[in-house]
Amino acid sequence: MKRLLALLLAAVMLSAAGCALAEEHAPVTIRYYNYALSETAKADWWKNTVASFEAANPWVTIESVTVDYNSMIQTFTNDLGSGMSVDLILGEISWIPALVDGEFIQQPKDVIDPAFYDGYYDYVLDQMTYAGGVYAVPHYYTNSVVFINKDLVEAAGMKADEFPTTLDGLKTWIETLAAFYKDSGKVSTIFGLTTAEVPATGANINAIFNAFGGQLLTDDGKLADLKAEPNATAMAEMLDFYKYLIANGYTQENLKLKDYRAAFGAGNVVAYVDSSWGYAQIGEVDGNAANFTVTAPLPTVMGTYGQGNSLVESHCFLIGDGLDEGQKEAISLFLQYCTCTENLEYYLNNIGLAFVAHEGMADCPVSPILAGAAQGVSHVQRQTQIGPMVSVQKQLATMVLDYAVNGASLEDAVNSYITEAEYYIDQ
Amino acid sequence: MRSSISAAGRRPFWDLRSRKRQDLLFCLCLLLPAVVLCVAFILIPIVDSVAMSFTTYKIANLTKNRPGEWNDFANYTRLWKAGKLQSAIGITARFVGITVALTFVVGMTLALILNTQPRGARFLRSVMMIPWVIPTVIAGLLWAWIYANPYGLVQYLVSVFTGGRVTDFGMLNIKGTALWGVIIAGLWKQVPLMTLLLLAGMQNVPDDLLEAAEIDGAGYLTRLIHILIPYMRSVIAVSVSMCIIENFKQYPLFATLTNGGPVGATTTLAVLSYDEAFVNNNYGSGAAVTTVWLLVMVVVVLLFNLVFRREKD
Repeated sequence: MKRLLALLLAAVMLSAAGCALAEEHAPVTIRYYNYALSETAKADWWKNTVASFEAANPWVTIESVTVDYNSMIQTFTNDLGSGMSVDLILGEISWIPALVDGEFIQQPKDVIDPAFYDGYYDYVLDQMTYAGGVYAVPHYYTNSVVFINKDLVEAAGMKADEFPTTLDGLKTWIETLAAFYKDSGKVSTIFGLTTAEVPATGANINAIFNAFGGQLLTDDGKLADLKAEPNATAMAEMLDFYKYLIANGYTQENLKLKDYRAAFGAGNVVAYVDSSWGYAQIGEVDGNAANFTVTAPLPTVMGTYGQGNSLVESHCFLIGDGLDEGQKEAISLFLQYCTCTENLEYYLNNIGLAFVAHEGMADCPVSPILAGAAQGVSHVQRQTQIGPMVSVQKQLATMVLDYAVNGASLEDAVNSYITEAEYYIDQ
Repeated sequence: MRSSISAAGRRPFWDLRSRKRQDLLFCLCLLLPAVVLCVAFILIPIVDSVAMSFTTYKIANLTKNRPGEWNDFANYTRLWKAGKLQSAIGITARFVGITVALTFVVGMTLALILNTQPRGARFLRSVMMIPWVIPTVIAGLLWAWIYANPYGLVQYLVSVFTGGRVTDFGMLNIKGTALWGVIIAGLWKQVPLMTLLLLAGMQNVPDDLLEAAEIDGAGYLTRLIHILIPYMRSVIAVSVSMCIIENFKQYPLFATLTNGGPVGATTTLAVLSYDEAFVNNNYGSGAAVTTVWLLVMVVVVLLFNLVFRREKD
């Protein structure tokens, strides 16, 4: 009888608890657009994270939508146009203007728990400002880092942890390695810089320009005066550096970052410049890439004006417009769940290497691979966001190819760039 | 009882008892689905796109279902002033002209060879279909590897033929050669279909006519120009028209091989339209390029057919 009573009591308590839960939280569905699901290395982590979050919060259903990276904005546009909702997006900083102009997204401060929101590092959050508001929150961030094949460097009798800190030193480093691997047939690239005319390359070249001491855009979103100092010298020195690398065969013209990632993973590249999360694709080529991969920041003294400045890139969360209160709460909880050391440490150390962007994760160890580049994040520069950012940056690749491969004069290449960039900015 | 037959003995138009009227109605009923589909999926989108080209139309217009704002032809004038429209029309014309001409010449040559029934003709015909059945995007990626610098096949061949003097020839990276790189890939893809269409047309030319001409002393060239080609006129008209349209709307090869570069050297109307609409998210401007693109294509095809018809007359 006692057992029966105990069972009955337990059943009543469970039922009451269930009712209380149901009363507290009506079921909520979040449509989460995540391009990382189409990338092998990241997909498993995201699937597990979503599943464990749903288990911990049974009132929330995360409906993950896998989309192709290159057609994200078109997908949102089509889905919204056909009446579907876009509640949460894993995106990049450069998407913010288009999504704000498209009235897709709202400011995260109106959704996320204020105490948690205050924990984001200001210098990262600042990069996500557009049209007077902060329109995204970072999951993590990076700047441009140099990936180095430790084994190839050491085989040439050099030390991987002694990466040059000046432009001249870098040239000597490159020439020494080039001489060593001249007839090896194994190494395709000594120091890779991407120059393919695609958006990711544009962002990469903009970061290099910044490292040379240049600034592409003014604070009010106009094209900076590229003929005034320090921009004129920074641009000339940067273009000469690309020409030097391409003309001597130290870098391969018109290659995309993904090409360098694959070649680096295959052990054919000594060093190349990429975002830290490029490691995800390196790791797909060689699961043991961690054994030979180290990183370094770009040299501090790049040309006349370079002072080790860098631009921030971030994989960030963008929050859809028109959410109800339940969805807002669910998204706030989900972002906190994704942005904590317990859940993100493995990802940041093994999959998509990057730096933490929230003070709540200050105790999260930096990946040993990324340790070398960590010192480069101290001179982060603010980059104004504008609507046609993608095209304005992509034209940088056109300018580099124009000057370094097609023989345009410095003046013609820069003038042509200014004309093109202003065409997009003034639209 | 009132009769519906008029004094002249004719039934009025609305009288369905007439056999002719019934047939006409039946024909219209059969045509109706096709007409509705054409209007819904071809005519309305074209009209919508043309209307969009005169407005400022961005993402928010689409997602919030807001009509675009009339902008006094600003999309056209902006593209024209920047020289983008003229440049894209020129590059498109060059690409289409060269590709169509070479496709026809090479296709005709191969068809003439295959028409002589050489050994293994059947096998050759089957093998020739391979490039045609490969999806264009895949073909583009294959050619990107072939052109790759420094490890592509083309670079290797150039290095061999120049005795090692040129070791960094990146065909798609140089302004002067990039368009040729796409043209070669386009030829590889399109010549097989052209060859087979021409061959089919060629095989319909009566043998007795050719034999009679031969007996009368007509040489190979005379028979080709005065018998074979005139007999194949309709096949040539259709296959060349198809080729013109195919190349006018060519986008996948450009997207996979050059993406419009280097330095805009391969930015055709198709690439420009995509960039304006889906990279810059300026749908109005993209629609303006598409409208010009459509007009140019229609004019070229009409001119081709006009010239062809005049020659026939």
